[in-house]
Amino acid sequence: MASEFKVNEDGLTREGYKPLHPKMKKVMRVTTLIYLIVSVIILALVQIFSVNLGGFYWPSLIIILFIIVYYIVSILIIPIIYYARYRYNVGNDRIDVLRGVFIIRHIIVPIERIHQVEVTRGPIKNIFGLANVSMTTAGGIASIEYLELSEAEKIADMLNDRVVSILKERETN
Amino acid sequence: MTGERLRNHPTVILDNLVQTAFVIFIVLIFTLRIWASEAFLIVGGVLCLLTIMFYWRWRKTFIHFNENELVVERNTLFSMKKTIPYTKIASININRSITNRIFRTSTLKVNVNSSSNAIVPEAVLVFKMELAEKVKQDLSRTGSKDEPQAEIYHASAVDVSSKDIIIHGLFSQSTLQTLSGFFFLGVSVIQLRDEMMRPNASEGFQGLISLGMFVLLTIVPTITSIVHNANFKVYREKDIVYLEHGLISKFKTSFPVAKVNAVHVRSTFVSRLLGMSYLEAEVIGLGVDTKNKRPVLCPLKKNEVITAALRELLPEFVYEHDGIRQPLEARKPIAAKAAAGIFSIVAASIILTLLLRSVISGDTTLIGMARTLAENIFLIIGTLMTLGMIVWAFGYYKVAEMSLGEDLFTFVSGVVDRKETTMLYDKVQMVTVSKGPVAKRYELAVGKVSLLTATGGANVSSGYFPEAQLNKVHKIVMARLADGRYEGKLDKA
Repeated sequence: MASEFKVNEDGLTREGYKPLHPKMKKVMRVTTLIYLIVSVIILALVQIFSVNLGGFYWPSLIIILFIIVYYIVSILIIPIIYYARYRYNVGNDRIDVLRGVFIIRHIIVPIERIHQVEVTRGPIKNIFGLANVSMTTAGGIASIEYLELSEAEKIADMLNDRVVSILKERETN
Repeated sequence: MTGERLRNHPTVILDNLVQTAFVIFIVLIFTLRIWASEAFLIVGGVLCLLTIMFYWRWRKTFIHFNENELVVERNTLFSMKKTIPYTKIASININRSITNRIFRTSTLKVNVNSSSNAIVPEAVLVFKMELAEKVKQDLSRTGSKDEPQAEIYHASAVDVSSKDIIIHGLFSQSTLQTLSGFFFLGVSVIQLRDEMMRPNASEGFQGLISLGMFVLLTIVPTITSIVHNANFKVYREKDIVYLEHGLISKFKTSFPVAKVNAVHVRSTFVSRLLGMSYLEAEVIGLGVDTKNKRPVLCPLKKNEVITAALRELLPEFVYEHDGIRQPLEARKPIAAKAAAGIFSIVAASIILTLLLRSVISGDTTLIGMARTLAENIFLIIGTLMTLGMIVWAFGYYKVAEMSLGEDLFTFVSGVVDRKETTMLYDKVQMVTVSKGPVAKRYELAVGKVSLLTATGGANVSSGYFPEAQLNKVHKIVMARLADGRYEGKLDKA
């Protein structure tokens, strides 16, 4: 593992970044499994209709094979790499997120630029007690994914307080 | 204007009705054959109801010009109160549609700096022409630190003739779009020729579809651009830039310089051969009338004219800089990216060709050149895309540049159609530094800066540069935020 992702006994990297909760791997796997099931159903229907319409196009098997391989990799390997390469840091003035499987992205969001903070969780994340924190800026949306619900709410509260205090500071200036 | 309470001009009722009637008319065309008289009755009834509804909405909508903010209030079943502080106004556009011209009114579109409403105005006000002008002047004044401008004649900062507008319309369209258009033209010629040679010539219409694609991709954008940019005029008074253009619908826009987030100097392949480029600005709200396109501050002109126009209109975006080229090692991640792209293109074109051949194998109506073309269309497209990828790889290394100044920084990108984007650090919303496995080996990365643009939140990307160099962008942004040089405080200063 690259040194920037290694964590010490306190669970922090040398730059002070935190890893996600290991449960996130399960969430990713369950989500991908659901997509796989839906895709298989759609592909099966397409094939049945193709045969009924008088044509079974063998090159489409390559596409089906590719999709199945993609999902198997997504279930078995991707969550491990994603977990190993996801680090975040909520500082006083900025949010830093390091993430990626093949391409590592370092996302920096100045807290001054955040307009809105939102905690979101779908049904699967809800089952596992995880949530996302989405931060809206004028240039787009950044997020910290797969956080434990309590951690997500703590970060959202902290960011909301900080955004309000920045606005008040601006008003008084 | 302060303290006044106004209503929109009653023509908004007519405008709303015309728009709704148009939609209903389209629906009517599709239903006419089945139940013509009933459809007319229903549409008539709906329009009567809508007239009452639009009248009620007009009567209950009030516009207040308070000391510090504009308030639009509606007290109908779905009540609404929208407060727009004058200081938050990014741009005010005046439009004069055909209805406006008939009734001598103007439509004012007020926009604020918000990515969610970038192409939808925050408030749309319809007043008599003179009143609209006065409101625009007052709002421009309250949004900036300058005194109101009297209605006097201003010469354009750039001399733009009709010939310039036609040249802009012809050569400012993206090269890829133009090439795609001509590709469809070529296909249509072959298809039409084959269709005419068939015994039953009236059956074929595929050639017309391809011809339609050519018209849609090349002729329509050119004419739209010419009509939209005709009678072009741009000038700056103190810290406000004024923009006027339009042949059928007239557009008058003004925006404070402080609301400009970035400027682009763009050139297409053909325009570069002619030594020409054009100037665009990223200002929220100006995309409202340009159908999602960025507002043009100066159409295609010689490069030196564009440089002079930028100095005249937005000197705040001019700084002395020498672009940093990508290091030699950047060729490796670029080559890896191109190789991955070529592999995907080749695989996709082979699979799609096999699929298509299976599909059309039993089709006896396809004959001659049209059949050969249909069988090999994905191979042709794949070959062209592979060639494009190779050209991209060579060009990308040569073209991409970046430079970091004190207040501004610039990214140059685009192999065929080039774009030089100059941005203020204080307008940066988010920074992303990405590195793939090959780039990582050479400590290189790609920078992506998120900004608020005329069409909402958007990104500007760099080429492959040393990671440390790219990290300077967010370090400067954070340092400026920390020492108070950021947008909020500057606006208040």
